Amino acid sequence: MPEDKPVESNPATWVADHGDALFRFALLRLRDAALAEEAVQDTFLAALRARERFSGLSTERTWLVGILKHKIVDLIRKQSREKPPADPEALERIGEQSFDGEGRWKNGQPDWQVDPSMAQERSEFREVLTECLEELPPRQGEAFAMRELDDLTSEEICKAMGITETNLWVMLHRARLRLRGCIQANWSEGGAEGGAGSGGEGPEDAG
Amino acid sequence: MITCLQASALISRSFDVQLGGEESRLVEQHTRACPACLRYARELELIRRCCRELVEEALGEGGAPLPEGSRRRLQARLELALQG
Repeated sequence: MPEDKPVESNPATWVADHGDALFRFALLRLRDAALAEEAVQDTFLAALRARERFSGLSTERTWLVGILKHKIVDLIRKQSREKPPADPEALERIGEQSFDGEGRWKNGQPDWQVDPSMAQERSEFREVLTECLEELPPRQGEAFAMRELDDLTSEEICKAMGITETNLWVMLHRARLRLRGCIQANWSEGGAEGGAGSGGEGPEDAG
Repeated sequence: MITCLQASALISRSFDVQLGGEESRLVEQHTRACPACLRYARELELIRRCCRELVEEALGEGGAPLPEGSRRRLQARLELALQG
């Protein structure tokens, strides 16, 4: 079924029409096939209960994806393993890892040199990015994924994670620095070779 | 002028909220003189773009299909709910 064509909702064909896409998205977010299946099942059942509210103004796929995103957040909330870092010294620790005593980048490395027009290169880069997303500490990874994959607002993320906006900001900042370092370590030296792991942080040419 | 440590924090924040006028000015002033921080901002943009592509890839047609066992279980559960 074409994704963008408005249709009447027909639950009998949901698995056939949307099962693959919903499962892939859930797997991207949860990184666990059993949990992904659970999220998709919860989505279908919730959609069934709320079926009268489907207006047909958005596509059926868009409507179901919206429900799925909330189900994923519910699952993550249930599985939350770390306490929120209500830590006023967090920024200082970021500084110690990535910057020298004068607040300049340390550990300079070559540029990523990704050419956005090269589809193959971008595809390999996305593989490295996916591996590096998995390397993030759980809470940082969830905050980052809710922002960048689910496109949730700060308010929604804070509510889901039970943290303040300042906590979120620090978490996202740390996640981005860590991601950047991981990508740099696994991409710069000839593309998508080797598994993701810890890497140096910080661009060269610090000013 | 602010340090790279401060600029990187503001650059990261600019991906989440609209920076205030003074903050924007400080970042702009810093990145004009600091290729490393300008590069950091571009790298964060690339990460964001690639994250969107990952989502589009997952939600588009043609990717890996739902495992057959999962498909059967989901269909059965849905049919049960439809009957009930």
